[in-house]
Parts: sequence; structure tokens; C-alpha cells
Amino acid sequence: MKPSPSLLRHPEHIHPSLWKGTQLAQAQRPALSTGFTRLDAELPGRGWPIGALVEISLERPGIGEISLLRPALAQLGRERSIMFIQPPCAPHFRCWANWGLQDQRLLWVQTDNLHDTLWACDKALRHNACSALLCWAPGAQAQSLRRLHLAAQQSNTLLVMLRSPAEARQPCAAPLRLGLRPAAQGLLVSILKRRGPACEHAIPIILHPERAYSSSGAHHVSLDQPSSAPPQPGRRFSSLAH
Amino acid sequence: MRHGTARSVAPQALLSRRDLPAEAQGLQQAVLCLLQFTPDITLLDAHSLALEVSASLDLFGGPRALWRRAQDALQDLGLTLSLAMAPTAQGAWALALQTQTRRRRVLKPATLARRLDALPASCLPALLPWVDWMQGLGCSTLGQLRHLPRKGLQQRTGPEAMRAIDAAYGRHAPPFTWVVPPASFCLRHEPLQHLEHINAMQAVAGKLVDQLCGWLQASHRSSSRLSFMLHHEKGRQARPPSRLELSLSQPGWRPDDFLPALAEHFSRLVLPGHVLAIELSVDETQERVARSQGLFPEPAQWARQENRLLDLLRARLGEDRILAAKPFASHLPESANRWVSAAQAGESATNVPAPLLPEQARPFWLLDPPLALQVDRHSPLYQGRRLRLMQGPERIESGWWAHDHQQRDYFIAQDAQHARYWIYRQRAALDARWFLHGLFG
Repeated sequence: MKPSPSLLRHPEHIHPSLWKGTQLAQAQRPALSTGFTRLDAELPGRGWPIGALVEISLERPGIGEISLLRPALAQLGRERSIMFIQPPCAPHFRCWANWGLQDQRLLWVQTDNLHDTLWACDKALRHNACSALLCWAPGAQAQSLRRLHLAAQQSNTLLVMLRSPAEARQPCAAPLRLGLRPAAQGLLVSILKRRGPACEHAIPIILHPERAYSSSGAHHVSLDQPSSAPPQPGRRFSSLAH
Repeated sequence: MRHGTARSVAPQALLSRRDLPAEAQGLQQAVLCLLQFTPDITLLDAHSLALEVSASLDLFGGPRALWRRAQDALQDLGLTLSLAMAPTAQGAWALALQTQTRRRRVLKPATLARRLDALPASCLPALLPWVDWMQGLGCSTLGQLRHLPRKGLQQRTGPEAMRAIDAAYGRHAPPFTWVVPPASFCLRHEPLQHLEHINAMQAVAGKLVDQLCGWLQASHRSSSRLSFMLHHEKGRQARPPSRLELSLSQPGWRPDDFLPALAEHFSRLVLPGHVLAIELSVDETQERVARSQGLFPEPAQWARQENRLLDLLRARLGEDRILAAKPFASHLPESANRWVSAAQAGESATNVPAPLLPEQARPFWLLDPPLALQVDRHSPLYQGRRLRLMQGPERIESGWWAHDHQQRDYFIAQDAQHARYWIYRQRAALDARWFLHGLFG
């Protein structure tokens, strides 16, 4: 029997895991919205995949990588915790609370070496005890990442590996790989790999709009009153603070 | 048989002295281990145990599954055994002497009677004094004995012989005194060889945990702290015993509750020498909390799963490597951002009554300690990048009552690539130095 042309045009009607190279794949499990409409539109399943390895590469920590994940973390269920394994710096809990995430339990796991980092990540996935798992494992081999991806598929966890751009050039089993660059008012997200056509353009993400500062003065506990600190000789405030 | 006779009959036989304390200890271990399956265990003689399992059959998936589990558990202890199953305890005892496994498993009383009829009379220990007399009568099997007139047989033998036959055939149920588990658990295992490898020690510890679980099961209790003592060489090169504490965040009573974390503890263990004996003791036990077997995941189930994971991570990485936030009321970010071991943080960790700031007012990554920045033409430099001040100053001043008086003006700065930094300037110092304190992650 010859398949009808409309079926060939829409192979997803034959089986949900079939897709054409020119279209975005459908997610097998419901994805978690990123909270950024333009990014959602470019991702298969319109969001972060749950139960799959997501790789995010960035040059150095502190360019807005957690801010990018924040709306997704806020949507996660409260009964399980969010785990950070071997982050590059100490997480600032005040910022976590400011983001409205104080009800999400955050666990910070420190390890001594790469082997322990991957072991802890694997155990957390196998116990399915975390709603989200962010792991920093510089130097991890593609083979171990593949193992983590397989473990993630058995779990119900948002697994994100944060890696360096040099590692992003090596092959990896992650079905979604993103590259981050800092940009004015936020980030530029380039999709390095996804189930779907290649994405040529980078997606701008606005994390800190410029005008928010001037309007939010009422909530801000700013102490920049010139009278409170008497000017002392030898200080060059005026040349700096503008 | 005498020593010399045995040597002449079988010259290649290895003769060893009978070790009565070791036999008693083996039996005791078997009892503790079998308490997992039923609380009703009785000692028939110095090397026979009878288990009343009629109440446990459904729980363990039928007689065959229970048979297999009991056999595996006892073989794991290193015991050689012959297991039999029958509707009566005395019947099972007699059947246990059979060599074929198939002939040792009987479920129906009629089959039991048929099997017993074919057995020699000597297989019931109570009949042993009259075996010669029975041979003289021409009765060698139990079946032939049962065909004799009952009254006459009772007159010529004794009431205990008749009672033994009746008990085996199920016509009379003798009372049993069940084994009472000891009030506290402290067990020592001395393997035949010195233990040098961690894996061997782990296997021995696993056996001890099996017996502990039997004991916990019998007393319907659970425990969260196990302490192992690993005894080393005595005498001239005596060393103090090594101690291994296994503490779980929730009490357990099944081997699976203890063994994964125990394996990680053993893999981290560094011992001064080989181990002669391992001792397991449990100091405190708790009343067991009944778990509901729900179809859908419940909050309590997630918490249990997380506790198991944290125990495992703690065992390998160390107690203070799994951290949870415990914010401290302080204006200084580095003292407010306090992280403590997840076990101590407790539930109140997340209750921060701090005023909410704009979302992007604080960085997500905090550098500890703050990094001193170089200054070039009045503007701070970080890794050769010039930082431009975007927002601020926000003055944070604290600790004047202590020696650590901090006067800082915080700014949000940006480099040419638009990455943002949280930097501060020390006001009090004579040379106003710049520090990088956070990164906006």
C-alpha cells in the first residue's frame, strides 16, 4: 500500500518520534517552558526537555546562566529539591530568595574530583530524588555524559550540564546543546544542537532591562544620599560613580 | 569411631577437632537470620531448627519462594544445611535426612504420611532406644510400626515414643517453646582467615547486617545507627580496633536500607592492618513507622528517596560536603550566606524574613573571599577588562561593634562584553580598594 502524500508530509502522524529534518521534533515527554517565548519557539517540545541531558556551554561563570534557568526552576514541584553539583562559586541564597525561589530547597554538593562529581550526578538521577540537577564537570568524557543521559532518561529530572565552549566542540550525546554569550541587557543563546533544523541565528534573552533600575527606585533600599556620608579628603567618588 | 579407625578406613581424610562454641554460634546466627521470615522458631536439637511459617507464606510469595529465600539467606552465612518442608515439625525433621531435595518438600498431610511410612524408624530420635527391639520384630520402617496394635506398642515402648510418631504424622501437636530474640544486638564474627581486602570485610559485614535485619524484623523495630568494630592484631603488635559508624537519616530495617551506604563507607576506609574479627552492635532502636504502599508518589516517599540519596552521598563525599542554606541575619553578604551540612539545616532553613530586593539587585554567585581588583585610571580592572559602574552605590556597613567593621559601597559593574559584576569599594581604608564580590549568574 502506498502511503498517502499527506502522511509523508507529516511523518509525526505516523509515529510521534518521527520528524523531518526541516521541522522540530516533538518531545516524547512534556517539556518545561523556559519562560522566554522566543527561546521556547526554537526548542523541540517548546521548552527544556525533562529526563534528557541538556548541555549549556559558557565561557566563564556569571554571565546569566542561572537567570536563564530561573523561570523553569520556579515552575518545578516543591516536594523534591534542586541540586547543584560542584558549582564554580558559592550560590548566594539571598539572590535565590529574591528570585522568589526560597520555597525550593537548594542543595549544594561539593566533590573532590571529576569521578566523584559524575558518581554523585549518576546516583542523584538513579534515585530520582531531585527535580533539577545542575552539574559542573569540566573535563568529562563523552562516554560518561552518554551514561548520564541514559540515567536521566529513567528519571524525572531536569539535568543540565554546564561546560566550556571548548568542550562544546566535541561530540556529545545531549539532544539539546546551547551556547551562551553575554550581551547588552542579557544573553545571546545560540542553539548548537537540537532535534530539528540547524538554528543559524542567536536568540537574544533580556534578563535585566536597562530602564528597570530607574523605575524601581521606590522598592530599592538605596543609600546613595550624599548627606549621610560626609565627604572626606582623598576620596574620588565623583569620578567613579557615574 | 576412633581416631585410628578413621585413619585406617580413609587415610586421605582430614581430621579436625569439633568446635562446639562455633557450632552454637552458627546456630544462633541462623536463628537471627531466619527471624526475617517468621517469629516462631524453635530448636529441635543442637543442630536442628524448626520454623513455623504458615503465617508468612503469602507475604513471601508461597512455599517455594520462601524455601528459596531461606536457603539463600543461610547459604550466604556460609552454613551447609539440609532444608525440609512438611505440615508437621517432626515430619519435616525426619524428611530433612533425605538426600533428594524433591523428597524433602511435602505440602499435604496425606503425602507426608506416605513418605514417612517408607522411612526407617531410626529417623525419629525418640525411637532410637527401641530400634534393636523393632528390628527383632521385623519392623524396620515407620509404616510397619504403625500397623502394629497401638496399645501393645505403647505398653512395650513408652509414651514418648508414641508421642513422637503421632507428632510426625500430625495426630498430636506438641507444644513448642519459641526462640526469644535477645534484647540487645551485638554480634561478632570471626572469619577463618584474616581479612585483608575491603571486599571481604564488606561481605562479612553484609552477613552481619542480614542477621541484624532478622533481629529487627522479629522485634518490629528499626535502627538508624550501626556501629562496626574492626578488630586488628592482638598481642605484641596490638592495635586498637577501628570503628565504623553508619548513621542514616531515617531508620531502616531491611538489608537494602543499610547496604548501599555501607559499601560507600567501606570503600573510603583506610585500615592500619588486617582484620581478625568484625563486631556489629546497635545501641538504639526506634519503633518502626508503618509505610503506606501508595500507587502514586507521595511527599513522604520523595523525602525517603532524598534521604537515601543524601546518605549515600554523605557516605562517599563526607558529612560536610552536602550543603543546604541556613541564612543568617546579617547585612554582610558573606556572613548572611551561610551554608551548613544538609542534615543540620533542618526545615526552617528557607524562612528568610528579609525584605525583597529587585530581582537583579544581588548576584547569584558569591566569591568567598572577595577578590581584590586592580585599579587603572580610577576604574577597577578584572582579568584585564575595564569595569564600568552601572548602578550604585548601595552602602552596606556592619560590624562596628566588633573588630570587623566593614564599610562598603557596592556597585553593579559591567565589562565591555556586557557581563555584570558585583563589586565594592572599602570606604574606611585609606587607599580605597576595589573588590569583586559576586557574579551575576
